[in-house]
Amino acid sequence: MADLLQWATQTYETREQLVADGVWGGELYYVPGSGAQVVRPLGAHARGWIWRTLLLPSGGDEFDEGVRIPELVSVPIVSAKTREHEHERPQSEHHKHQKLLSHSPLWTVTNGIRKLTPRETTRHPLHDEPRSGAGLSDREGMDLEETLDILDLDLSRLMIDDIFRTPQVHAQMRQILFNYLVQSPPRDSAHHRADSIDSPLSERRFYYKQGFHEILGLVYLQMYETEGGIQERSMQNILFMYTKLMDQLAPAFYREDSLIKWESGTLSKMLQMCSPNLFKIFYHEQAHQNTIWLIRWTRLLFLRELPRETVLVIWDHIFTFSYPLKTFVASLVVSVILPLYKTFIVGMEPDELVEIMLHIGENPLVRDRDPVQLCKLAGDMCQLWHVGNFSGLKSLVDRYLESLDPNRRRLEEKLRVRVKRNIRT
Amino acid sequence: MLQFKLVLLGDSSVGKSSIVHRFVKDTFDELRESTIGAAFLSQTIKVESEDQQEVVIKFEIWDTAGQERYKSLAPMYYRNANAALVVYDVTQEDSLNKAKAWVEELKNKVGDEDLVIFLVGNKVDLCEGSDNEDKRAVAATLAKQYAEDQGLMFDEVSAKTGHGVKEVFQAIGQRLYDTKKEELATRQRGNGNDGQVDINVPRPSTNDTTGCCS
Repeated sequence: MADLLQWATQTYETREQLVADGVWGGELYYVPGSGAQVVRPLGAHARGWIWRTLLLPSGGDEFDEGVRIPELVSVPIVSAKTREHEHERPQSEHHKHQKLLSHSPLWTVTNGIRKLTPRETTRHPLHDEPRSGAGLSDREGMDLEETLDILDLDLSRLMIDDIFRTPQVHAQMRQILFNYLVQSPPRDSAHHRADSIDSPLSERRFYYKQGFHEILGLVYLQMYETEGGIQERSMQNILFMYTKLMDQLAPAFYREDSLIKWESGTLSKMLQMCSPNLFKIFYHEQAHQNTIWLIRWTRLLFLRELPRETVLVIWDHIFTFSYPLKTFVASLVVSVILPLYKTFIVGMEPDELVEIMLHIGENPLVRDRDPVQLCKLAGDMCQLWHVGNFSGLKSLVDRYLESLDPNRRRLEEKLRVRVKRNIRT
Repeated sequence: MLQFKLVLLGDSSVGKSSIVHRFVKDTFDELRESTIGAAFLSQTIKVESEDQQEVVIKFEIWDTAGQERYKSLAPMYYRNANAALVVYDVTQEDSLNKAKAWVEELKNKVGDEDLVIFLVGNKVDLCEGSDNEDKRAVAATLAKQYAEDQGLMFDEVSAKTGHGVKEVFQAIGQRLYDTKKEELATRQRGNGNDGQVDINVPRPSTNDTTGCCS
């Protein structure tokens, strides 16, 4: 794969070229001379370079003046006995840090005992809440101790690669995630004075949600494999890359009100335009059930739904930021389910539909799909959606479905005629 | 075959997914990734009717994410459920409080007196042996008393060893069958049905009219 990396670095002189020809043009993904038929795995070295080039200023080699890559703050140590906050040793003091980590919740989790139960909340967690605003979880956040506990719990259960079992990687992931939470703007500062990023850490509320860790995990993993390990500067780069993604991802899909609004305002409308038949199935009486599968699909950006190589190609395209994330994800969701039109039946139980959607990766039509073509279809859909060319959008999808099953239109027409005839009689 | 929807609720890391995997696949992994949103699995069991015939019951199992603590999306998960497994960790005292909050929510929002709620204390393996007795943070008697007061079914299990897991689902299946058999018999008589076809037990909706999913 070093050859591919060398070829890529020589071929694409600018980020724009990489985006237009390499990613969206598909040059990176197909074996040369195969006529865009044979997809090749990029390998970690090339992918790390691509992501750095796409996400970091100047590819991370040298930063433009005025571009601020924030220094990492240390993760406070919260003593269970005293509740006093000390500061962790610098990351460079690795062996000491490992010793500290051996007393951290990671160890207690793996030894079967954990100290993770959240502290008392300021109000009853089950009180009804107004549906017009953000969900309670969005407004309340968690205190420092609770946040660190849940970070440790989730990081100790990050299964995307074995490297996340090592104390050093755990500590680095923890520090990056914590820094992301510290620097993230408060969601609803009008409601909580403690949300201010100028407040002492011990008084602040943090807005971590399960899934943040997994998104970071995939970014970290690519950089780790590219660089053969992660140093302090790489951690800053990863934080920068992660923040760039999360700036769009978190407000769009990790806030429950936003997710629901996106589903009704973008996804369902796009599906209706693209495939009225699928729309009828997904959005009949109990359409709310869609949120159940959409939570995982959107928050993890298909990480648990599609094969890893497919996800990486999708993320390459996302990282070009050619389209707003919300629209591109909606297009991707529709693109993924389109070929399954025969799987979904009018009148099927809502639970049955959710079951299919939560196991979508097991379907060969999804599993074996060319990820580059999937992204291209989604990108074309985005383009037409944005200019409001809905008839063009419908035509695009029809052409795509015909390419899958040339007899489909003929059969549909036949069915339509038969139904009309039956109605008349 | 009778089909029932069962939902698992409880705090993060109490072992909800591990209980499901033990029941469905008879496996246990020391580390299991966090559930994001929800997961779905199904499993069938057999229960016995009054005339000692075997009745097949299929559980549609909805495993939920424990961190959705404030539950604004929770009604989506337990809507139409026939049974709820509310799980706590016997080594974590506060996880029982979280379980109690779930019980309260179910009782307030699910409009079905037939909803079977089973309170389950998991991870009893961690407290076994004289060296580990101090690890227990929730006395079985305390949880059992609460369950009795609330009219819940109760047991302690270990997803790790498998202790008690199948029995919990078996007991739920039997309870559901016993509760629903009259209703089913009436429906079958009304339909002229001989009982040989699949029956989806009609499920209650929630009372939560303000929910996002209403």
